[in-house]
Amino acid sequence: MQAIKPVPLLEWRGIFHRAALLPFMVQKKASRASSKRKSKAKPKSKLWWLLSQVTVLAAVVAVGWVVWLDIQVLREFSGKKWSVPARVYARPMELYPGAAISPDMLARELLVLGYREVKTPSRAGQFKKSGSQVHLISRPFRFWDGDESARELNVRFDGDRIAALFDPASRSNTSLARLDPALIGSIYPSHGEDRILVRLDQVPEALVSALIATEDRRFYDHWGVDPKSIGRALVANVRAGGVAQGGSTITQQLVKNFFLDSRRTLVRKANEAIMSLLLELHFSKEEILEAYLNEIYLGQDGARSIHGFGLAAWYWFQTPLEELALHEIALLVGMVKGPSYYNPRRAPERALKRRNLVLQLMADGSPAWAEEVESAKSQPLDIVERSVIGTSRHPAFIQLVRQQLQRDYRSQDLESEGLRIYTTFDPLVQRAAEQAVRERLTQLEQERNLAIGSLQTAGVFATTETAEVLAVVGGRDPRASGFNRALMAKRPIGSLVKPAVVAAALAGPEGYTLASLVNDEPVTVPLPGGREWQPKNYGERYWGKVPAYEILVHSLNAATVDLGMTIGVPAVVAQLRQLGLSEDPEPFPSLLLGALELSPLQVAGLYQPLAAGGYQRPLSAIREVRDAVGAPLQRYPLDVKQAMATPVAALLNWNMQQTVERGTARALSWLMPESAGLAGKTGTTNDLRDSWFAGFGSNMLGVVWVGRDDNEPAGLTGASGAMRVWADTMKSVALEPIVTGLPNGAEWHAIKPETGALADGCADTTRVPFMSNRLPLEQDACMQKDAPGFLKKIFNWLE
Amino acid sequence: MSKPLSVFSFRLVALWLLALLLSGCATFGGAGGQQGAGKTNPWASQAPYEWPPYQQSDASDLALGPAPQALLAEADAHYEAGRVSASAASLERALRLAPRSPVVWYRLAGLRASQGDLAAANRLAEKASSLVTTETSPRIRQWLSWLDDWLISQLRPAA
Repeated sequence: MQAIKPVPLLEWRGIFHRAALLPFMVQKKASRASSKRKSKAKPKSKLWWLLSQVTVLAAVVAVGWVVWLDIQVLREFSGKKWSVPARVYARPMELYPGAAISPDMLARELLVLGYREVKTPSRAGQFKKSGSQVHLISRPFRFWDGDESARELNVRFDGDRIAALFDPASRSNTSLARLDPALIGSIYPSHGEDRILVRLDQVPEALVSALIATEDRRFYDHWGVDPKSIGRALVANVRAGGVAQGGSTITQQLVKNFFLDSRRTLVRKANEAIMSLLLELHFSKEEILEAYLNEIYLGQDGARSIHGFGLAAWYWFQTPLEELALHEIALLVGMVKGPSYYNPRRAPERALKRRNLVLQLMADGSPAWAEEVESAKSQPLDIVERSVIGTSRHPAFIQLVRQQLQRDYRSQDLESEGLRIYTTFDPLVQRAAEQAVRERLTQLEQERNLAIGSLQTAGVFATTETAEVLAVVGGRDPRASGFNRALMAKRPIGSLVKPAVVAAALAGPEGYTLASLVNDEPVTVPLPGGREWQPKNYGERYWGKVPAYEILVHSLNAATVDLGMTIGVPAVVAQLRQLGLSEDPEPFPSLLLGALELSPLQVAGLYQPLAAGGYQRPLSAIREVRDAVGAPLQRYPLDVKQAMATPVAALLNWNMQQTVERGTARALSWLMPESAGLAGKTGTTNDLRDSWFAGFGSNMLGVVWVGRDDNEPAGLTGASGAMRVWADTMKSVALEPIVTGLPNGAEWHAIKPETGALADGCADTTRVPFMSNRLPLEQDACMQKDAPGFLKKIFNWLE
Repeated sequence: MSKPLSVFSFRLVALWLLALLLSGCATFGGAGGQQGAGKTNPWASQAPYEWPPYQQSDASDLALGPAPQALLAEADAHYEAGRVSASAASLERALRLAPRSPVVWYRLAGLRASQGDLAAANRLAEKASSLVTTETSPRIRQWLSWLDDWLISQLRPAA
């Protein structure tokens, strides 16, 4: 558990020089009261004496009351701290020459970040896209490894890659720039306040002007209450025959907000006034204003209440507060009076009217604003349709973040300590996956006459070498925050287990190579208790004796069982454990065909080392955590461990590329423009209940499941369901092919596929990778005929 | 009624003062107490062994683009200033741009070694050597085997 520095509600400094005065002040009053009592020792008359006693008592009670209120004020405003939910950030986009980022991708990222598209970028958070160029001014941001300052950049593209980054300030090209990371959500209590704290110096001057013009014109002049405006309100109330109008100052509103009781009784009003005076006594105007700006309620997002202008700017405009335009500021200020009544999404006309009133009040209060106000009045509302932050937007990924954080942090710290969590989330991959799910599932249902809405899905996308989770799809509706299938739905993985069977054979003591012949014929496995198991191939088609690599290419069940029973099921369990499986499945023969229920996240974990040269790292969604003031709390450093010999991984990569080239995943070639160099494995379970696909290129891997929540047959094979969603996702992100070339300890040889015998330099052969220390024992007759010199030549040519 | 309050407040003020003083001290202490500061950088040129110089001219040989290259330089700068975790962050950043570069994995291994985590260093170094393929140029292979030998010599005392 981490020690977390609390966020002070107001700066301590304020309490110091003012609160220190308080005891003396109170003491002074009290001593005056007691000296009065002495002088009343000899009363001239009983009535007089009684009156004086009542006065003293009243004074003591009043002083006591004030003191009690003062304790309340101090406790509420300085002892307590803001409850600030943890803020979750996406990965920052790195811009550099050669990066696989197209102009559209960059523009999309900038929009996610809340950058404004303008004609001529003039300040941070603005950009312009024209053809194969994007001109932007980035925002400053403090990263773990240093500050990234705001900079102007001209990004030039060459097709779908960045060609150059030109820095107009220095008139030179730069090699690297990092954008600020997108804010993708927050971790707040199930029913609770959400806010982003701002300091007064971050707040635009216009906001303060608008607020004061609208809510409390004499804010800088009064002592917490404003008799003039109270008088005005009183007149109005007498006319209305009840309490209709408040003459509340900003200070009073702040006090009211903190004591959560909005009853408008006279006692309350009196208390509020006294506490406002006390608050002004203890704190400066600036401190009160800052607290107000962070406290005020400005909207409701489901169970989450939006507090403070910092979050409101993100919630309504998807922009940091500093970057709001005048008409946007005025809209927020207008909402202070009633965020629900003036909700610009539900009552746009009312909100617009109120906004323009605020603008008018600004111009009336200070002629300096007059000109800007006029142009602001003609602006549209400009609110975003739906906020990108809040867990409502990416609930599946946020849930994974939360799960991983809970190993190190307590729930209440996450919900209240204002932690900043820097994740591995890639908004562009997530968007591609969500779009793929939305379009493809409906299409599948229509094509196959399935009930509309019957299919469900889940997926996990991650980087290969660094094992960072890029995107999580928890179900068909990406906004639904309920059941997260990517993390929680455990389904039989079917044929997705086969690479582990082959891997165990390649590394085992039996001496198997990819060219070893295996039996693909109907097989009967005796089970304990006299029962028998007769696994069947898909379509009951059997291939006879084939090289072991055909197991993965055509997903041969019978051959898998033949191979698996030879090496033993425990060897397969051991292999799965090495790949990172956290559970310990029973070594039943049915495991060989994937009678193992795992979530898509777990499957992605098993495939990660396959895609990363045999080196495993638990899939991670978090890079680092900072506290509320930006001090580093924790890094999640990169570490890897070997789960499988690198040559074995290379052999499997080749094998799974064959699956895409000519096997069960060959449809990928028409599902996406570039399928060369991709590796994959389909998975289908009994009666077509689960459709799986796991695949990877050199930089990314993805695992997708499609099926039904009720576990009824979905009517889809791995290739006809999950693989399509996978392909739709991967074709719109920068998936790169697996690099050619074998690692040390692996080499190419030619074999005769009918016999599995080594046949370098012969005709009618297939080229297969082998571990250097494990070549086929048999050599084809044609090899022995050839002279070694000739063979060497061919060999060199092959290399 | 007011007297206990005044004492209470006085104590509170004293407490605040103390807390402020303590937190101030903690902050100053923290800034100077960066872990790893003062340790010799195995990647710096003044290391007591003949180190293959790492220079811009080697960029093409290392098969690294200018961006990861710049990040390696940044990692060096952080390290020399005693900011070890910032240095690690820069290396990891470089790794994200060039995830199959054996050089970057070696550098990360070296950093872990300098932090005293020799087991992690060993794992990362193994990972680095696993990325050498038949297509890696002979010069890089030579360079990396040199690094490998050095790392092994560093790791030996722990074994």
